[in-house]
Amino acid sequence: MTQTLTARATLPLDRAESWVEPAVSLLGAAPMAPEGFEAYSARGGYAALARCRDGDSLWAGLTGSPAFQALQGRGGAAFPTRRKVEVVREAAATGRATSVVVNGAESEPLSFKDRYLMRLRPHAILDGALLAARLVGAGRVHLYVADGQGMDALREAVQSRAAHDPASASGPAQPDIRLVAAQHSYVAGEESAAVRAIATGVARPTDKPPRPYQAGVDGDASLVLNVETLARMALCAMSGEASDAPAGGGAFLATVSGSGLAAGLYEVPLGTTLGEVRGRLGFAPEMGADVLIGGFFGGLMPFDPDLQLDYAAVRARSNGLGCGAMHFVAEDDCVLKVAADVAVFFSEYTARQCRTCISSSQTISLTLSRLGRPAQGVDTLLDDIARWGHQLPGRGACAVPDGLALLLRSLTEHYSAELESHRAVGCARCASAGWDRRWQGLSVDGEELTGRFHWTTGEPPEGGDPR
Amino acid sequence: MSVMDPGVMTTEPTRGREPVGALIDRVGQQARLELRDAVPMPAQAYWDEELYGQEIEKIFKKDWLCLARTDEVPDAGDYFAIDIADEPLIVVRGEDSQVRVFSRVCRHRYEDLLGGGTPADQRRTGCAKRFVCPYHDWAYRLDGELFAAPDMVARPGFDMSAFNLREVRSTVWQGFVFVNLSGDLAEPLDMSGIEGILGGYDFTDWEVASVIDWGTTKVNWKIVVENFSEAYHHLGLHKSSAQPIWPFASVQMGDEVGPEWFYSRLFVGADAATGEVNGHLVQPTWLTPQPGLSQYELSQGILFAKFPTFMMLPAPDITFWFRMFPTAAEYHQLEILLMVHKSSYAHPEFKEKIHEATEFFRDVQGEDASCNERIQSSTRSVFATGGVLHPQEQPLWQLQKYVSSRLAR
Repeated sequence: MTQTLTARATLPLDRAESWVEPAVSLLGAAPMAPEGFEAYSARGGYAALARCRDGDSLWAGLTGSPAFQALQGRGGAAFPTRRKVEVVREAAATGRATSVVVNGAESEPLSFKDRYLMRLRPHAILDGALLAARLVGAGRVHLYVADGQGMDALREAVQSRAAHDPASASGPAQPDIRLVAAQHSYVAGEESAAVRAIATGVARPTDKPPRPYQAGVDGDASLVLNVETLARMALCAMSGEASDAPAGGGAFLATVSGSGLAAGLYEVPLGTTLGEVRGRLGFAPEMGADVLIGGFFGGLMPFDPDLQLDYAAVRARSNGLGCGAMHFVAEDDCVLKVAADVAVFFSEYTARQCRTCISSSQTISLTLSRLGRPAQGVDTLLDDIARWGHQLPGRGACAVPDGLALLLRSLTEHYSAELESHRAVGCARCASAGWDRRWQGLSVDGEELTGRFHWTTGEPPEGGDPR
Repeated sequence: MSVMDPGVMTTEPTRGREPVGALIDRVGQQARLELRDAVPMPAQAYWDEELYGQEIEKIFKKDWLCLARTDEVPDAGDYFAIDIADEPLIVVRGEDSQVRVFSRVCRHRYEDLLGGGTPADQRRTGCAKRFVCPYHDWAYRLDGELFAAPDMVARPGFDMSAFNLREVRSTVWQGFVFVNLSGDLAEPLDMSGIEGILGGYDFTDWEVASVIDWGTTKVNWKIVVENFSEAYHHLGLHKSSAQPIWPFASVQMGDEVGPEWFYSRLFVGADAATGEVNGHLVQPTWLTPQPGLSQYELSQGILFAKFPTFMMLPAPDITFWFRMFPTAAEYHQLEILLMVHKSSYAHPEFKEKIHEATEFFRDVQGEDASCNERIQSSTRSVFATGGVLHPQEQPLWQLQKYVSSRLAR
C-alpha cells in the first residue's frame, strides 16, 4: 500500500503485473521490460503473418480461435471485433479501398493501459495492425497516437521489424504505414474523430452514418481498432501457433486506482470477480465501498465482491466495463462528489459541437456539483436525474451524452438514497469541492512507471468559472 | 394590472402608449426575472420619444462612451468629429501628442466649429493647426486655448483666457478614447472585468484598417445592441455567413450576468477550423494573428458589449468594433471598424485580405440590418407583445437590467 496523496493530486501509477499465464499475456513475466523485435518474435509474434500470406487463410485461422470469436473492442465500446473486421472485409470484397486505423488516442483520465502498451509492447500492436490490414486487404495503416513516447516506440518497432525482416516489410502486399499525432483531447479517440483528424487535423466527431467502415479515411472503408484490441488479436493469432494455449483474448488490461492512492496496471482474466481484484491489491476493507468502473464511461456502483468482470455482467448492473479502468472510492470520500467530478470533466471536454450535449452536460454538472448544499424546494432532483439518464443516449455525434447518461442511470439505480439525503441536508464533502479541474484526483499518471513525458488533456479551459 | 396571470396578459395585444414611468417600471420588473424566465424588451421602448429623452439624459450624458481610437488621430492636429447625445464633439491630438476631447460649440455664440462653410471632406476628419470658427473667425489652439478673437479689444475687459474650448472628460483604454459628458461627477471608467476575459489581447498595438460606414438608419439603438450581442440568430439570419465560423451551438455564455457588461465566447466550428492544436480548434484567419495569443484564444472570437454601446468582437487577426450611437428615438448611426494588429501590415496580401474581410462583414451587417429595420417597424404593431428569450439571449436581459438601473426613478 502506498502513501495517501493529497486530494487533488493525480494518481501515480507505480506497478504493473499480469494475472494470466505468460504465454497468453501481453504484460508477461517482466511487465516493465520493453519488448523488442527479438523477444516478440521468439514468443511467436509475426508468425501468423508469415504463415498466412492472404487474408482469407488468415481469417479462417483466426475465426477458428474461440478467443477471437469472443473478442470485444477494448477502447470502451466493447463492440465485437470479429463483426467489425467482417464488415470491412465485405467492403473489400466489393472492390472498395480499405485502410486500418490503429487507435492510440487514449484520453480516459483513469486509464493508462493503451499508453503502456504503445510504449512497452509496440510489436504486439504492430503485429495486430498488420494482421488487420491483411484481413481487410488494407493499402494503408494509420498509427493514430496521442502520446509522444508511444509514437516513438511504435516508430522504432516499425523500423526494427523492417530491419530484421526486409522482405516482409517491403513486399508489394505490404501496407503503407503512417504515423499520425493525435490530439490530447477527450473526443480525439472517438472513431469518427480519428478518421476526421487523420484527413483534416480536426479531431472532432462527425455525424453517423456514415461510420468509418462505410466512409473512413479518404473515403476508404476504414477498420478502426483500439491498440489493446489489436494486440489481443495478435495474441489470438499466436495462440493458434501454440498447441493448447488458452485464449489470448480472454483477459483485459485494467488500470486500477483508489481515492488518493497510487494506481496499478493489471492484466485481468475476464470473469475475475471484483472481490478477487480488491483482495489481490491488498486494499483495506473500508477502501472502496463504491467503484467508478469503466473509466469515466461506466458509472458508479456499490462494491460487490461477487461481480464478475466481463462486459455482459457489468452491463447487467446498469454500468459498463468500458476501457477496463476501475477506481475504488475511499470511505471518507463521497460517491456523489465523484459523480460530480466526472460530470464536470465531461462538461469541459465535450467536442463543443452538439447543442444538446453542451447544454445538458453543463446542466448536469451544475446540478451534481451543487449537491453539497441542501436543495429544499427542489423536489425534482431524482426525477430529473432519471429522466436525463434516459433521454440523453444517442443525442450527439459521439458518445459523450451516452457516458453522462450511463453515469446518471447508475446513480438512479444504486444511489437514490444518497441523492435524497444530499437534497435534504447537503454534504460537507461535496460542498468543499471547487470547480476548476476538480476531477484531477481521478486521473492516473503513469510517467513514473513508463517514462518521463507528461500527458494532459489539453490546456485547462480558461476562465473556468466556479459558478 | 388585472387579476389575470400577468404571463397570460402580456401575450394579449396591447393598444396605445403606456406612460413612460410605467414602461420603465415594466423594464425593471422584467430585468428582475430569473434568466430562465426572461422576456424581450417591451416594444414601446424602441420608439417612445419620452423614454428616449430619458435615455439621453440619464444614460448617454452620464455614462462612459467610446468615441474613437487614438490611431484615428495619429499626428498633431488630426481630429475626428462626432455628435453624441446632442453634443457636437471633437477628438484631437495636440502638439504635445495628447489626445483630448472638446465640445465643438464656439464660446462666442455657439456655432459649430466645423459648421458653416467647412468643406464637406473636413467636417468629419482632418488635420488642422487651429480650429477657426467659420462664423466670426474665433480661433482655438489644439489644446483648446482661445488663440484669437477678432476685434474683441472693442469690448473693454474682455479676458481671452476665460473663453477656451470646453474640454470633455476623457480617458484612453488600450487605444480607445472614452468620454463622459457628466464630467467629474462620473465614476472612473472600469474596464477590469473586460480585461479579465481578454486574456492575451491588448489593443494598444492594434489599428483601424478598414471602416464600414453604415450611415444613419431607422433602428432604435437597443435593437442594434441586442442584435450584436446574441449569437442565437447565427442559425437563422447568418446561416451561410457567420454560422459556419461561429456556430450558435458552440457559443459559451459568459459568467458575467450583471447590469454593466456582457460577454460570450464564440468557438470556431469544426467544419470551418483549419486544424486543431493542443485540443483547441484553429479559427481561420485572413491575416496573421496578434502575437502571443494562446491556442485557446486562437480557437474563438470573444463577443462583448459594455453598455450602453461599446461593442467589440476580438478575434485573433481582425477585431471588429461597432461605433454606434442613437441619433433619435428611432434612429442610430453606425460604423463598423475592422482593427488589425500592427504586425499584420507585413502580410504580403494585406490589402486584398482586408478587403475580403470588409466585404464579409459588410454582408453580415447587411443581413443584420435587414432584420433590424423590420423589427423597428414591427414594434409599432399591437401584436409586438408576449415574446420570449432563448438562454443565449442573456445579454438582452442584461441590457434591461442596465436600462432600468439607469432610468429607475
